[in-house]
Amino acid sequence: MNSRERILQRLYASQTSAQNPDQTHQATGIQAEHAAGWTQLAQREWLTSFKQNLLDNHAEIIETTTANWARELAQQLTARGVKRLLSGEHEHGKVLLNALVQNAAEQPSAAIDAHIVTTAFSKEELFLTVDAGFSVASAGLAETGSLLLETGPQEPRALSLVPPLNIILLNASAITASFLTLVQAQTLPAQLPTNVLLISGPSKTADIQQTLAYGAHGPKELIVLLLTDA
Amino acid sequence: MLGTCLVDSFYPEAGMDAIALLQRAGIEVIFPQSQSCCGQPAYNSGYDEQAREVARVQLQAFAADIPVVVMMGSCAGMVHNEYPKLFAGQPEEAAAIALAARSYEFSEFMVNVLQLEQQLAQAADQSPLTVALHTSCSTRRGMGVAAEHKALVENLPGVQLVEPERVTECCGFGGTFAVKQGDISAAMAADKANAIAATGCQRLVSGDCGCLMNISGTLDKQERALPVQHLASLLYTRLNGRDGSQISQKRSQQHNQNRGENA
Amino acid sequence: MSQTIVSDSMNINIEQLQQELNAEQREFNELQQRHFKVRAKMALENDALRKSFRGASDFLMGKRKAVFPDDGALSALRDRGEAIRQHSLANLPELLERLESNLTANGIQVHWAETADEACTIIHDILTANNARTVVKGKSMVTEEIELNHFLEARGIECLESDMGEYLVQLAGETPSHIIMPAIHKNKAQIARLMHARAQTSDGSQVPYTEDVDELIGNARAILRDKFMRADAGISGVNMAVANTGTLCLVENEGNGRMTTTMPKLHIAVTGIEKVVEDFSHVPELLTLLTRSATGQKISTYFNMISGPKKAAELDGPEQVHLVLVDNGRSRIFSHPVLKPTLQCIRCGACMNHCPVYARIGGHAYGSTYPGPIGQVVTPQIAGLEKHGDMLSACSLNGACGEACPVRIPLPELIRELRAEAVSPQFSDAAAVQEVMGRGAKRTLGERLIWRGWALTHRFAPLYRIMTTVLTRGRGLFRSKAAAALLSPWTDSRSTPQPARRSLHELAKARGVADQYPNSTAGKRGDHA
Repeated sequence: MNSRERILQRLYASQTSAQNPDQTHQATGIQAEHAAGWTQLAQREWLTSFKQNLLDNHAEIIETTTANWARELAQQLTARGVKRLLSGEHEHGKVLLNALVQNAAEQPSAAIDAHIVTTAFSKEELFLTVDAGFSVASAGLAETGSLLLETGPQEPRALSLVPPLNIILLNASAITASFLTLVQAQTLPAQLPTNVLLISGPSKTADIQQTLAYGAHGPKELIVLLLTDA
Repeated sequence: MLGTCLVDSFYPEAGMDAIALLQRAGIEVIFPQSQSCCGQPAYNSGYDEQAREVARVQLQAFAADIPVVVMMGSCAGMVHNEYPKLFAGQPEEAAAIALAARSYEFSEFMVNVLQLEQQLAQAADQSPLTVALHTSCSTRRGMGVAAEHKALVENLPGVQLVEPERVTECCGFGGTFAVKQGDISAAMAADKANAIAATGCQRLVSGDCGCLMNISGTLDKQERALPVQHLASLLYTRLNGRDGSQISQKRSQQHNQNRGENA
Repeated sequence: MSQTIVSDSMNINIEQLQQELNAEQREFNELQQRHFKVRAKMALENDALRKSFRGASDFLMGKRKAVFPDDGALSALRDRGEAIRQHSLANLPELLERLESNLTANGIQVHWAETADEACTIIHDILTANNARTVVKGKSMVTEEIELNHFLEARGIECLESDMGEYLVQLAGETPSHIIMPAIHKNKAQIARLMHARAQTSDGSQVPYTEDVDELIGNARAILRDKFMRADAGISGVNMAVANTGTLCLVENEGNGRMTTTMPKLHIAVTGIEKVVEDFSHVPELLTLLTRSATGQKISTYFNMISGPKKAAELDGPEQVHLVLVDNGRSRIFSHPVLKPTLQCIRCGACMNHCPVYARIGGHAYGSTYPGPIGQVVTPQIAGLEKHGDMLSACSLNGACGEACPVRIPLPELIRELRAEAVSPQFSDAAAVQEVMGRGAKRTLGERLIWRGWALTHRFAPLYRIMTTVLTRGRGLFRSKAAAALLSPWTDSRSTPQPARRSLHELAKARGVADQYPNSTAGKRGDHA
């Protein structure tokens, strides 16, 4: 018998001798009621709560529209002196790149070296040269101010992790009450992507004398582009 | 009444004051002379067999099917919460469950059964008095009657209730803990004593004599003695206008000018 | 610990500083070998340490309270947390098998380890099979429990902690003093000295002296990001493993957990077998309980859900993901009828934040991976009562931990049960799986005699009467020096208690209070209300 079998055998043996038989094999008993009485935000509170929680967690929010976001972001990036940006291979990334090209045409000195990543990239390059990563969230959670990122071929994991500036775009209509309501609504794919993330602010730590410091290992700043008309 | 062993030998006046309060409410009080200790010291140390031997004595002493008022929160918690576990699978299991169901911590009985807190307006002694209340951990968490405790003191005319910092924190008594981990216990007691002294209260009141002994002993040792009382004694003396039997000579001499003996 | 505060970096003698730190580390190691009581006493006498823990406890208790403003909602959520965890445990073996099968289908390789040593060996084998020489670690208490770092370092593998607190603790050659805030025992000045004397930047130079927290974190960030970029493998813990989806969930604020599980080609996750939950729908409530209880956050910065290695079309992520399921005594805990709820723990640390004993002696005094109330319950069960039974007396059974526990583990009850195990006769039947390791280890003749004597005097009314009479009549003796010496653990810091002149038994009798109830007709508790 190997370790696996021995461990399982011990567990099954004590399970059958368990003193409280009605505790075992309740496959569905606890699905029924989720934390009755726990925060259930009314829909009209979602947007305010979402924004407030993000602000409390040191994120910046740019409220904008489908038509204007790319231009607004391009200006922001220029103003912040961003030199190099990477985006996943998605529609929003292309829109942003176009806006950056236009911006550079008007203001050549502020040109940003922006790319859409389509092939595996070197870690050195990512760690040492990229200032900003651009990602798109598929949902927002009002209760906690969280952004749901489903990574994959079009949304590399590291873009929201390694660059010091993390930019995440979200359609305001994709905001839901909480992680619980999101999971209950079964909007996540049945076969989960290899890496799903909830991001609720820039990287931080309070490990030195409970003093909060941002940019522990990951992004020092998080900008959330909130498309209020989408 | 289950007087508890600490009250029996160290704070008997609390038991007598409680008996008087109960009689005043028209209740016939029985004090079984065969009672001793609830068994908690052995139980908390892991000596279940010895705890059972002693607890069995209380099961017999309190076999009559009438409510049992327990003079300390910690012992009330033992009877109310732990007896059913201690006697699980034993011949006395049913008796233990029954006793647990009809046992009350003192303030719990006074408030939830007698509504005493509503009758305090006529207290004979309404002179100003600042009181710090230490609600023991077993009263607060084990019995869940911190509100009852507080209500009794708050509703006493003339009494100003002051709350020490970290009011919910343990004073460091913990029975055998105070002896087995004397250093840690002393550190906790010192912090509690400081917090209580910092309120500037004139008196410390509690429903648990272990805590009283611990905190007042610490203050005494630091030569800043404070009069202490069991809650029952505070209530009795305020209601009857006599005050002081509960406060030991030594402490009274140091800090009280206005108290006489009444026992 | 000596504490030389040096603020002018020009005046720091680095060699002297290094010697001081080496001495402190030796002191730490020696102290960890000594008896619980010695460590507790040392901690109590260390003002800086006391201040650190008191401050941290107050801070974390306050933060938790602020995110649980509604008692009713908190109570409902705790009910859910308890139900979810109990459900997981009730179905533990089936869920582990389901987890294994779904993880395997997702491409995550599953390994089972019965003991700490076996877990370390498995991890080492995976690393060597992949030629991994450098490892970055995300925060993981179970790898502390199995002492993985020592094991790997002894075999020539560099194993760097990357959680800021863990990194600092490793740099100091110590162990974590709190499960959520590992370096809680150190203040800024101590960390400044440590970083200056021992940390090296990626180009091998010394880190400048600074007590500024942002700068300290910035310096550590630079060092660790370089490691993330180059490490061959990442080792992480797991907060929840979801059986139905084959998902490993990690909760963190810093991003080191994501770095560890994203950047190296190889990711090895390690977890105790109890961390499994059945369904994804159980995750949100446990997550919110965990972050709110641990640090008073509505949610952590990152919640990282891993359901597989990088797929062919993906541009990044580890090529291999492994999960090592560690038993190390847990299946024994599982079999104990009273102690089983130990396994409900989600490792939030709220019990230690609320423990008045922990607040005074800190985590290291416990001399174990898990300190505080949960440590007092877990440690003797996985490492034996013989070695760790003494910490059980460091509890006043005040119940603050049980009240704070988000999944309602009856911690005081479990501590009491373990005290009973420690002084119970050993079962003669070796097959009794319920037996806690080292049962009866604290069973001494002296103590047994004391409790037998105590039981005797409290059982027989005449003996009890004699005892109280002796106490009350002999009350004068309590003022004597002999009494004070006899009661010294009490009287060192308190006055000697004064028995009354007459016992309550006597006073009641004298006052004519009835001794017996004539007939039993009255009703039950509720009837009197």
